[in-house]
Amino acid sequence: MVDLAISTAQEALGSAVVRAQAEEDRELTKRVRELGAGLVISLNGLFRMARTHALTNTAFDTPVHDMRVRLQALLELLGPVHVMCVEDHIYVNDVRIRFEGVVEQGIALAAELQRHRVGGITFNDTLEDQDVREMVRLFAAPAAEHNPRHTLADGLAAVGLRSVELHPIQQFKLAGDDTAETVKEFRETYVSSARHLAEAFASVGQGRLPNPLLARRAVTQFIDAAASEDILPLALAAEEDIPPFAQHTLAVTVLSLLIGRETGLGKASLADLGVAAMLHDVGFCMTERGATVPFARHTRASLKVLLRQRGFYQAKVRRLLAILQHHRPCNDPLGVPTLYARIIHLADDYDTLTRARRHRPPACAPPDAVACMAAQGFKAYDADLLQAMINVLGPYPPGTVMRLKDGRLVASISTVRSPERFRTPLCRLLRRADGARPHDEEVVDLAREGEVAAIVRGAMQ
Amino acid sequence: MGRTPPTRPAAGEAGEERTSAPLASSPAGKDAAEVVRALVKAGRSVILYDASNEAVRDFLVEVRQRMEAFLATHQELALQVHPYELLHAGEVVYVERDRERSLALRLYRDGVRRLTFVSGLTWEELSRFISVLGVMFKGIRHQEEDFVTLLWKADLAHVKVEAVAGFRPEDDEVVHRPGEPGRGLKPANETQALIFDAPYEFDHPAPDFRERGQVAWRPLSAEARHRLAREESEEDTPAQCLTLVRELIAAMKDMEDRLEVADVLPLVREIRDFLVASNRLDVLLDMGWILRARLEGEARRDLLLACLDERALAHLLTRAEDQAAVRKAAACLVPEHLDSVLRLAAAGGEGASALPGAALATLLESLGRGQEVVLRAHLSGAQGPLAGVVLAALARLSPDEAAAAAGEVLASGSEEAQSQAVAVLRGLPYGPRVGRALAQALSSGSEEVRLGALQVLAKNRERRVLANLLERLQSSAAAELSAREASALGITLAMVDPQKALESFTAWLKPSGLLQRVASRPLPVQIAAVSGLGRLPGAAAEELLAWAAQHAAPEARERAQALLQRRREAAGGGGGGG
Repeated sequence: MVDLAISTAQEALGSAVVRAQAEEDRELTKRVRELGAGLVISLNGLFRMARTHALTNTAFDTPVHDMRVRLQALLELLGPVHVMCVEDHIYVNDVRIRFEGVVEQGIALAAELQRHRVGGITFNDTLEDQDVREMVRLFAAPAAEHNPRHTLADGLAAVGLRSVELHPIQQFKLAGDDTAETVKEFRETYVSSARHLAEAFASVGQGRLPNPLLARRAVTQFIDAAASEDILPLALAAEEDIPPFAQHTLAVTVLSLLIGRETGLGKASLADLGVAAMLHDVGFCMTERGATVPFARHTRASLKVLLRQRGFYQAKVRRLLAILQHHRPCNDPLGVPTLYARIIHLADDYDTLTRARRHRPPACAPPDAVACMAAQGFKAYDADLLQAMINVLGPYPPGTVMRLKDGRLVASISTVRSPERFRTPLCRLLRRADGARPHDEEVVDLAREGEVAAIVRGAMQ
Repeated sequence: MGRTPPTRPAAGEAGEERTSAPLASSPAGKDAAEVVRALVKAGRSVILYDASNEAVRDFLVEVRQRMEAFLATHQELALQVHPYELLHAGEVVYVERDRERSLALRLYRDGVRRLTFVSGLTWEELSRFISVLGVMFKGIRHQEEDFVTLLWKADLAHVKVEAVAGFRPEDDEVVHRPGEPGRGLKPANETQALIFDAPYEFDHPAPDFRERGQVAWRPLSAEARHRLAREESEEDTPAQCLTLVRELIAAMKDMEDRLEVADVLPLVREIRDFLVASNRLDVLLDMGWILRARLEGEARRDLLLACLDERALAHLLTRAEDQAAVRKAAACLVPEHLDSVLRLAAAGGEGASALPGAALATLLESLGRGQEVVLRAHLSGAQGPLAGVVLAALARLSPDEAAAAAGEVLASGSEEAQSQAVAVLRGLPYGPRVGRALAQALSSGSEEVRLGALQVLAKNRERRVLANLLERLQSSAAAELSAREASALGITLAMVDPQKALESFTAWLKPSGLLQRVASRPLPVQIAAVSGLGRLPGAAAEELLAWAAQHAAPEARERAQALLQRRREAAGGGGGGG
């Protein structure tokens, strides 16, 4: 008798493989492997030669040239090139390089770098032949006794090679020694995702391929964190540590995720939504005649960049649509925008309304933004999604400054915790009733005590 | 979480060859080793076999049985991931030093440190886990996902994955530089600095909403949740692909900031492959219609060629349910598709078309207009019924080209193709090209083809084949002719040039010289003469026929007698035959 459950599993296995194959950009991986192997072999050869030959020797000409050309090709393909040695494995931008059985190539490079306590190099820019010689000279020199990696980095900077970054020695993490890592503070995750975003945006700004995997890793961490923490206020609190471009992008991402979760989207779909939100303004990093593309053309610019990603992904299709449509109203004559676009539209507008920009205060206080947006159901916004956002933010979204009836001044630090506590967020005390600042961090739970007298707008924002 | 030491010596330094680790000896350890072995076999099976293979089925059955048994007995299978081993409760339950084969290393490399299967695990969950394993073993590298995000996405309630971001910096150098604040992100390079320092003025001015709405908590209705969930379901993806294509076309027409064809082509190809793989050919055809309706010129051509490539066309046309569907497909094709259609048509093997005949005919007529030369060129290699369909299409588009093409087929095609060519020539308006092609058919190696050609030549009284006919009947090979062909040759000769025919028949039946008379003509020649005489009017012909009825070789004589009788009956005489 045919076991239907097994047959279904066979089908699922087959379609998973077929789909994954359709999503793979095999050409890119192959090219990275080829060029990466070439780059490592060039570096090894140069370091070895430097022990026996003066760098002015013409014997260096060809290998220096080869290394420069290979690096240039990788930079064109990937943006910053990260060559990481992890034990005896070499990774170039996360692609493990195989040396056709010559494992020694990997080991040799790792050993050469380890002398300086270096585990990896990032090449952020192309190098001239002379730059390559200088870099090899510095690596071939005896390692400094103290802080060898920083000494080498200083040496590189001194000869104008700031674009060559050095990383500490890397190891595969051992099981059991990384508990703290798995429950890393959300703030740390949030700030480090801004770093990835900066790298992705900068890379795209130079016309290179986008790397959604970096965004996806960050988004999955946000979603996991959101299961146990109120991540929106945490995100807003972490903004002092991240640059302006990332503040907006990440805040839109977090709010989109919260709206998506409120509407009942599954984890996988939330992750796709988050990646779309993360890249919704990627066109910002494109330039036209030396200047950032104007607002009117940023969606098109984003689209052009993201169209360069190869492989069919359902997530990609939805992302592209979200980017194209996220400024369109729900009642657009061209048709109702897609789900992700409608969610990102809400999050994007809310953040735009409430965010202070350079020399410009926010257009609205958070409660006013919510109230004004609340009137736009069936017009600018999808009424159900709008309600989902209201259910998340409440009348006093994080960042709202309020005067309580007893004279205290507080700022909201929570999203809606439950339907019953919709109008009573958790707050941080800003001023006591007598106007004095609290000595320590003091939390006021409006569900337990305190009544809102007024919202404080303007300077206090 | 404490680290439990394994029951084997600790790993040596990097690169040091390690001795084989002792496998588990406890009952639970042994069971765990069996589950892992079964998991690995199932996951790796897709490297060697198609997922539908019986072997894969067996592996899946085994892994299900073993996992169910394990969890029923031990409640939980917790695997600690080491670079080359998996450990269960401190015992090594899996070891594989081959990097390319090692499950442990693959998990480890992607940051997985602990995998736990807990009681309550359903087969559906386990099969999803195996699918992710299969993708991993297949060595497919995504730009969008890694093993951890794939497992995370699979959302397996009873499989717990503990993972870290793969590498750990072993930094012993902490250096504070002057002027460098201790917190906050800084650009790592000049390119990043451009992004960090850029004034982020996007999305301004902010929306100008004056009206205020009510801010109250309201649960989302089940209907609203259902509607939203439907939008994100996989079933909606094909429709979203079409929406995206419409959007991209609109962007291609935006003169202010135009998308180029090259920007869109790769995505159209990817969507095409997705739709073919998911058997959504209806949506693929819709995509073709959208491109056809909304684009023009080279953009339309290039994108339609990308949308309906040969493989997609094969799926589309071989599964088209009716002629209406074929006509819809045909409307989306551009002239450059003709080669693909012809190649597809020829892919059936042994001259049979891979496409249904009617579908092919519709497509060829639709695409062939103005491309008769391409159709003709294709015929040189065409075989059998396919040649007939192509020639028929060509005949409807350009009789002249069809005639020339038929001639070429007759010169080099297979017997079946030649037969088809003659059939097509028969239907064409008769003219010099058709005549020449048919004359060529007389050299065919196939008697059927020659007979078919002779029939048309006779009907059209083609004088230009006279010499050919005479030569065939006068050569030494004439003795080898079948009675059928000899008769057809004689009749054709009579129809083409009665005067010359009578002279020839006379010479063949009643040679004038003594020597000629002694060495009588071969039987086929006599049959040709007798058959031809049957079609010639006049007393001379009848007289010669009567003579043949008396003196020719027996088989020719019988034919002559029959013809003579029929002739006399037709003339109303009905007089005796002999």
